[in-house]
Amino acid sequence: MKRSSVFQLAAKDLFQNFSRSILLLITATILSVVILTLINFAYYFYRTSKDFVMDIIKTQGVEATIEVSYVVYRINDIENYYLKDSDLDDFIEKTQEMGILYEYEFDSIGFGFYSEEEVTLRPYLGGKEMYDGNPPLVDGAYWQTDDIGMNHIWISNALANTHGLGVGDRISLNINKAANREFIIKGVVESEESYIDYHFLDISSLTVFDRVNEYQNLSVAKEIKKISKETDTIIIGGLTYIVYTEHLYTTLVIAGIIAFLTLLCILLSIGSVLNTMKISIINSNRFIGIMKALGMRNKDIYFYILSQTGLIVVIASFISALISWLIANFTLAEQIQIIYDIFGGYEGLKLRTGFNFLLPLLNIVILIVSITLGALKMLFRHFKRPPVVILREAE
Amino acid sequence: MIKVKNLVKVYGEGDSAERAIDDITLEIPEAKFVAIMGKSGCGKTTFLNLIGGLDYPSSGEIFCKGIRLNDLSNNQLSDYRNKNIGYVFQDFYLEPSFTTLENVEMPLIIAGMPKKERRQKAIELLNRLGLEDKIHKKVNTLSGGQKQRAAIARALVHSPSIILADEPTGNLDSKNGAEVIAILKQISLEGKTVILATHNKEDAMKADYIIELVDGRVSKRTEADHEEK
Repeated sequence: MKRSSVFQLAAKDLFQNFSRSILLLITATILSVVILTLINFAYYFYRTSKDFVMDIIKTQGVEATIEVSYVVYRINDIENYYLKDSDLDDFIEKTQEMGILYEYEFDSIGFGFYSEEEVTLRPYLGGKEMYDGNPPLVDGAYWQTDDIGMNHIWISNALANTHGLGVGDRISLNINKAANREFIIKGVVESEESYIDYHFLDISSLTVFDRVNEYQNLSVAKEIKKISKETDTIIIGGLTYIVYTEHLYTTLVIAGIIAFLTLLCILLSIGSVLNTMKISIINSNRFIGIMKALGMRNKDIYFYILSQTGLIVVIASFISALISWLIANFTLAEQIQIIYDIFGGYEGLKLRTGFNFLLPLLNIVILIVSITLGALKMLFRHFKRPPVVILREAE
Repeated sequence: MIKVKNLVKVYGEGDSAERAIDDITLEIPEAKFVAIMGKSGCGKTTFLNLIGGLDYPSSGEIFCKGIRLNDLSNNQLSDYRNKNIGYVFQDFYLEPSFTTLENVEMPLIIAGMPKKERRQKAIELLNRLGLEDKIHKKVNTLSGGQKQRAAIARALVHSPSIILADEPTGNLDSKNGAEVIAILKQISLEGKTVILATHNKEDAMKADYIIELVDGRVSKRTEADHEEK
């Protein structure tokens, strides 16, 4: 029997037996929606986390995740705040009055003037507030308040070039808190954007150091991610990372939980599909018996069942892909933001959603595998049985 | 020619085992109209199913045109049925979601015949059996007699040499029943072997031979001219 004839017969039977087919279609669609929504959710979470983490990690061996800090300056005001020997607190106060989301704290505001000067970085957790001691920092794994700034030293390219410093060189600084501490030049980060104020260019072209110290094992890199101009505001998407090991673990745990739930739902759905498949074959018993009596071979019967269920699966997959995408985008996206808020409130974090054609295809694969498994056992029984037995059962 | 030798069919196991066919040996000549007669449960349908390859014997041998059916695999039996057997069931076993034409075409679709050719064959047969105005109608709109004629058309469309009819008049009134028997008689006159299972003596009397079954055994064999036991 020609494959095309079997397929046509299967399709005709499917569309002409509308009530039976619609029930199977609804069942398959509902199951697919469940599977795909969870897969979408896990996928978006993974995608956002992954992009978020991987885009920022520039050095190897980072064992923690990243927090984001932004520096926002107003162009028109910046010259007023270009201070050589300013008082740091005064600087902070003035910039905060401007409504700036202040993230960096500089001992010396000589943007680009880093001759032997130390630049201190402080993490601002929560996005807007000064660090308040939470999460607590302890020796060995976290920051200590006093240690903040001791771990990250920024020098300009100019300084590095002047002294002939390059990646792998060790330097020590003998000022203030950095006294007698040794640092390794880990890498150089260049900005891809040009700026109006060369000071920012200097900021963006900073040499990154790793702290070599028995207490800390952290890497810091600063990269200008994005520069946008809105009237007189320049946003420097400065992604610096303050590393907390638990954050990475938390991300992994959350992703793991989602993956586990997805897997569980997939297994349950496969079980339901197997059952639906069984019902479909039972409903087709009579037809299979007749066709076998008329001389249809076993492999044609198998292809017939597969054609019918394959058609249902494909239709159900694309309907459910659309529905699950809508659910994931418009309801679950908020949940992702909440999860990240728990981490520490990333401002402007957007869930990376989007319709991915691989997802319905994945769903089709899952359903076809489960349908095939569901069909095989029953069909093998039919294969061995004489037609009259199948017909008798169908009655 | 169809030959069966020591044919046995047992249903069930142990104490509940039932011998539907109990050691039958006989020959059915070609191009004859043979009636298998007996009360309900005597083994008529089982016998027909066995020689049609629709069921498997518990023991014994079945030969059809020199082929030993016991030697055939599942797929070979399917091919055997498609090429050699036309079956008319008591309950018609037409597929209600398809039209009369589509039902009749089924054996030819299975045989892989091209669409145009099989359509033509099926339509010719339906016209011959008086169903020309029912060709494109769904079979569930047909009357009992019309359904049985459609079933006969399906049994004939692939030109098998053996037609097996299992109580084809069982669900029909006497008029339609008589028409069906007349069609089967005509088919046997055209050179096909027709084997009719029936409990109706009047129907059986139209046959060339009557084989009576009692409790799965042949009790009597009647030919047109003489009687054997």
